[in-house]
Amino acid sequence: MAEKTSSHRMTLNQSDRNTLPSSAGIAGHLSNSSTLEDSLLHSEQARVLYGGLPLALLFNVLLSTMLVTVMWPIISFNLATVWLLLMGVALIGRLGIYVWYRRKNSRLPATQWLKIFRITIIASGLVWGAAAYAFFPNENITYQVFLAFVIAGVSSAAITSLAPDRRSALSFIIPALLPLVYHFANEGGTMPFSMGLMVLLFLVFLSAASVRLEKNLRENIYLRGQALEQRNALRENEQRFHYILDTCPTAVRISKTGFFEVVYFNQSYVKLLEATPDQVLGINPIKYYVNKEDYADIVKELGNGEAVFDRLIELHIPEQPDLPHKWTLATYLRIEYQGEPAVIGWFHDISERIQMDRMKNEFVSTVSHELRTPLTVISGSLGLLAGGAITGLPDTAKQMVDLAYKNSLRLTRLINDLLDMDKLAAGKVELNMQTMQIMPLIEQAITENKNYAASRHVGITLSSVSPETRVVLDSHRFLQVMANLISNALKFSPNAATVDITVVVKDKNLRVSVIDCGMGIPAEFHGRIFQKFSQADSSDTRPKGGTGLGLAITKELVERMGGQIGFDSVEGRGATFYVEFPIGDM
Amino acid sequence: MSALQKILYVEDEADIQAVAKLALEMVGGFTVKVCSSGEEALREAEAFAPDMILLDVMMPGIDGPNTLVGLRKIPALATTPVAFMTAKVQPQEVASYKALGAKDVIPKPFDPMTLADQVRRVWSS
Repeated sequence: MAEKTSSHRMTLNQSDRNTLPSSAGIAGHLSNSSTLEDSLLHSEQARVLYGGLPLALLFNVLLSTMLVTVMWPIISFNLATVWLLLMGVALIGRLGIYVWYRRKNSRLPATQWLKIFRITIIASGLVWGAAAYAFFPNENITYQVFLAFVIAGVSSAAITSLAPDRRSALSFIIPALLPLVYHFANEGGTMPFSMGLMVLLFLVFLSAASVRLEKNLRENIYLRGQALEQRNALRENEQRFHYILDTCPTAVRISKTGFFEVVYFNQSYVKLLEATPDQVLGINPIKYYVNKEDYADIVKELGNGEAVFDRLIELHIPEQPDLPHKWTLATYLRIEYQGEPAVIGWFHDISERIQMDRMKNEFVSTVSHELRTPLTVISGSLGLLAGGAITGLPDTAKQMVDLAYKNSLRLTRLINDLLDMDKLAAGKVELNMQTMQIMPLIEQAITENKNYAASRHVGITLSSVSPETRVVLDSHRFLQVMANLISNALKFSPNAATVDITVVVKDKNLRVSVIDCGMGIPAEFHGRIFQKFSQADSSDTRPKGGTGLGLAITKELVERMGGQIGFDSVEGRGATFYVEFPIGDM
Repeated sequence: MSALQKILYVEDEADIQAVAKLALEMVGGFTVKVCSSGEEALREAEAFAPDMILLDVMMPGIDGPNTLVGLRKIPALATTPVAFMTAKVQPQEVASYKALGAKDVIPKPFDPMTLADQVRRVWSS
């Protein structure tokens, strides 16, 4: 296929197409015609000249026989015989080159064939001219007119067959007609002189006609050449188009509008559907669509003149129900195919990705369940013991239970963080945005962290200048955000310190700040504090635990709720993390 | 609406049953009846006449959602508040439980010391 294409490329290059002149400029172009065009012209001239030879020879035989027969009473036998012999030689010579041309056309270049033709046509013209010498009847106007009529008639007929090459035409008519002019001129008297003049004018007219005819032929040949080139270019483009489609790794099919039967498909298309060509060609593609509504929607949109891009489509072959369905991102465009309106569809196979997504979802769901079930038991049991629901534990045992409980909670948070991050990365976190007062949520977040604060011996204060202010939030996710910020502040606060939470209106936003007086954040860590798995101290012996996902998740959640997050911190002087949400109702 | 007292808890994992029962009874002061399967719940729920039902989702035999559908067919339990207690809490999963008529979802692992409060909150919401 590649070789085929390259061979086509040789027939016409882009620069040739770009230099095509307008029809008005053809004459000028012809004067500068290239060697290629000359060669094409010569071949065409030779083809037409030699092609017309048999008929011309027959015509010559008939006319020469008729001439001699009619003039027999007034011409000498010897002259008639000699002339017929000469005519016979000339005609046989022309017949010979005709046969030679037909058999060995490719042996000689077209210009050589033209030269040979011109030599024989001069001979033929001379023989006809000799008729004027041999048969011109002095003072017999009737035969003079007949002779002039025959020779002029032969010349006229010759022009039609010799028109492609003006040199051949002139090579015939000049030697054929000039002797006649000469004899009329020498005859004396008004009538012969007038006839001689008319024959001369006829000669000039025929010469001019031959020049014009050859020019027309050149233009004709040139235009045919251009048309051929354009046809080749069109064919080449069509082949290139098919080549690209045939080898395209994306599945492509073209269907006619109307019944939408498939008129073209590439290998990737049948491979995608795992179908045989006869299960595809000439068939309305609606049968491959699992959801027929998808197809109807697409047809409707295309009917409205719209293109359809990246539509998730589920395909199958109904005859093969055991095969898994294919998921594709499909694009549809209206095109013209083989002169008729059509639709081209591109189908990017994403079945594997969909399958992987499903497997991942199932995996996440299963892991989530399988890990949480034993964790529920462990942290539940330990929680009851640590929370004092069951009493009577020795102090040391209580201490150990507290430790175990704390770490079971840590493990729970770790699993939750990992699952949350996965969901955020996949864009699967759904938000239930509602207008609400923010203070009750902050108070709930503080309550939920009270035990942890107590265990760290850190106090929490809350101050607000605008407790009634309402914002649009997902309450569950906002609680998660606050839990992260508060637990971080508690984690990094020294013993007996206080974490301050303030709520203020700033411009058109409500800002909630969580302020700790811990060790602060090193300047070099500021740029990546919200990145995943980031911790200022990532050494194996870091004193504070955590996955390094908390702030990354928090930032994602805040931004998805339409808010923003930031912080101010100087190392050694604590840190202030704040979130801002626009004030107002939905 | 009278006070929340009797809770029917349907859970196939014996360990979780024990922890939750303890948490709800000792911390919350509720009367808890545990069923180990959906079938058992459908059989015994009406006689127990619970104020609220807590359902696990993944159970052998009749799973949580189908148990809920079955319970709703018992006239006496047609309006009893139901919450799912499950680790399957992806958004589309939660939405499907609520679509079945559950009031809310309590995610596992639960905090045993606050579980009773959570249940009360769901019941009164």
